[in-house]
Amino acid sequence: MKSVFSLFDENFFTNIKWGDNVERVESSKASRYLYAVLIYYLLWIVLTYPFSLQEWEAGALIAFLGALLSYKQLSVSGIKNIKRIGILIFWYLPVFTWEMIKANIHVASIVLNPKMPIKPGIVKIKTNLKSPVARVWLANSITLTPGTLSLDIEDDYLYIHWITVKAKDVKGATHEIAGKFERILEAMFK
Amino acid sequence: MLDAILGWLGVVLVSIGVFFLFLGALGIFRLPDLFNRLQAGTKSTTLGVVATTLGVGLLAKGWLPFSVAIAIFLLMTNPISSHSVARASYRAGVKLYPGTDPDECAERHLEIHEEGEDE
Amino acid sequence: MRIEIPTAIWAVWFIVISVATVLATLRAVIGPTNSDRLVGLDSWTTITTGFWVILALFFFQFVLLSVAMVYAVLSFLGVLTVARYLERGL
Repeated sequence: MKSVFSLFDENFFTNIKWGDNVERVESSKASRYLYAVLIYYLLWIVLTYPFSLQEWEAGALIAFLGALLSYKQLSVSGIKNIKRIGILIFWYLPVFTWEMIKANIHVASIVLNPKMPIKPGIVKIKTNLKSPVARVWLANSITLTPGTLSLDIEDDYLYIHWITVKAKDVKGATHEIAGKFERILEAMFK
Repeated sequence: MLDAILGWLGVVLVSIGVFFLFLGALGIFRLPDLFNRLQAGTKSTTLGVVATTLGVGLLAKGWLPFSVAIAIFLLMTNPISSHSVARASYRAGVKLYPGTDPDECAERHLEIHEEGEDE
Repeated sequence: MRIEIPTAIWAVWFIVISVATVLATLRAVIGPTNSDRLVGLDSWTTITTGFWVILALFFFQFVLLSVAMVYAVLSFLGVLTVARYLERGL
């Protein structure tokens, strides 16, 4: 019987094999620490909403101390993430919102139809993204876009459950499912 | 005037959200196999709860920052939990819907199963 | 609140969301396998988070919005832990 704390160790997200093709570029410690302080302070300000100066002073102290404890777990590339958040808001978010609305109309058309026209299958797609975080973003985007659900990941391949299969081979499926988001995420995690 | 516009926009958003929450539950109830259920469930309930939260943030004065924080949190965590449920149930050997045509994951699943028995 | 919401709209929201909760609960009760029950539980918690948010507006208490946030965090952790248990035991 393992202890309760084994829930929080680095193997919590089970045994993912990332393969040899993964790059994990680390920034300097100062930049990672600064990024953690910024994020924690922003989170503190939002969560203690009715704004007051006393809360902000206490928040500054707690952000600096808390970042000291956990900046290594929060981010790998530190202050560079600010630029990524810009791309995220102005390029990724509009595309994503539109895809999500389409996905929900698709789900509605299937569920409300008495005959339920489904033709499911599990296909395999190949990704070119190098960083683990980018792959997590890709899997999340795929889950929320029309008719697809990311099932498993191994080396460079993602296994996708598709509710109406349109292409069975790896290349066609990759183009059909991941094409749009991979371009954006490549620019984001360059 | 601005209050009225924002308020009715909030009412519309909350109505859309509630409708999609209902649609997700209906999909989970009707569809034939676990992965299809998970698809309907994840997409519809995520959009539903995000639209509801943003609508409530528009309806009440000064609640918008906190409700945007809730919406971002839900958008980031809901797909992760559904992904982990899907993988866990595939590895636990849940039966697929009979019409599932290409099943690329099957060989890999067999390999994992043999490794597991060796341990 | 910015505008007065008519009682009919409140009634429609509460009825629809209650029916949704009941449907998800039914899936969690009758699901043939444990994984089906987990799927039911997952969407049940998401629907209930939405319900907390609407309740916060109904009673007009900001605190209930914080309750919804904590509820979302705890349900995420709970579903992740049960999924991990289904995959390879605790």
